[in-house]
Amino acid sequence: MGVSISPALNKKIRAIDEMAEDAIERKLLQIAQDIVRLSPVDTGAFVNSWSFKDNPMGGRRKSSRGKPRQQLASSQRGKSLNNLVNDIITAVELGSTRGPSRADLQVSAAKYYFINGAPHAKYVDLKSGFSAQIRNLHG
Amino acid sequence: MASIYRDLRAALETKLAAVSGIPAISHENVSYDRTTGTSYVETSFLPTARRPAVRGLNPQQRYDGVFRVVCYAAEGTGPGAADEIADKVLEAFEATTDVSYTNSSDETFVVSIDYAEREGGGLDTPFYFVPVNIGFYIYN
Repeated sequence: MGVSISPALNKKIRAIDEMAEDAIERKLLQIAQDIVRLSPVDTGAFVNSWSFKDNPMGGRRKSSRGKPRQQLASSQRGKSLNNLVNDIITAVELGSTRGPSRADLQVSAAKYYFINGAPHAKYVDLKSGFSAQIRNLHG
Repeated sequence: MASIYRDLRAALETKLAAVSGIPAISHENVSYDRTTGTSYVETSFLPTARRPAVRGLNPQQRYDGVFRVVCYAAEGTGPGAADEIADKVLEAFEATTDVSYTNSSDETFVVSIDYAEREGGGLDTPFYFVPVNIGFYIYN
């Protein structure tokens, strides 16, 4: 037995899909902004090691070793936010060539991660309480 | 309206200092020479948001933040000592606790504890540490 769905209903379902996608994207962008805003900056290695991915492996990994210190925080944060925004758009938008719809194949990831691959990330977190602040803001 | 961050910090630090059995406290931006083998705690006051609680003119503000207490104990002696300090902090700042503080202008602030949770331990040679994060909020 087949079930036919009227074109008008189909259109509404697509509109709801798009609204949900927009809402998710807005929330992820808010989290990305807070992550970048609260990341401490010295050499810029930590803040530029953030990635948004559908698995916790790999991602950006910058070492602070040998890098000049006391870098301009706003410039480093700007670069990092640019990276994260591109990651989010790639991961979330249906039309993206590397997003959840690839060549008519729906790829759904159960979880997404904001990950920091810097070798000294754990130490930075201990000293700054960074992840505790993000959890406080976004749960 | 002036912010109340100074009073919030004072309320939380005063409460911590009054907890029985807490070792020496290393406060932010105060020189502290740690002694190998001697436990201590390190505090950080981390405000996360200050937002109007309602619409309209001169709204009350809701302040949110994290009071972080990292409990340090000697490395290589097992996790017991740091765990014990962390438990005391957790107990003192249990969720739904109200922390009352009166400043020198005789204004009283009641800070509400939203949650208190600990993270996994780690090494910061020659110490082993256990962080405790205390989420707080207040309307003012």
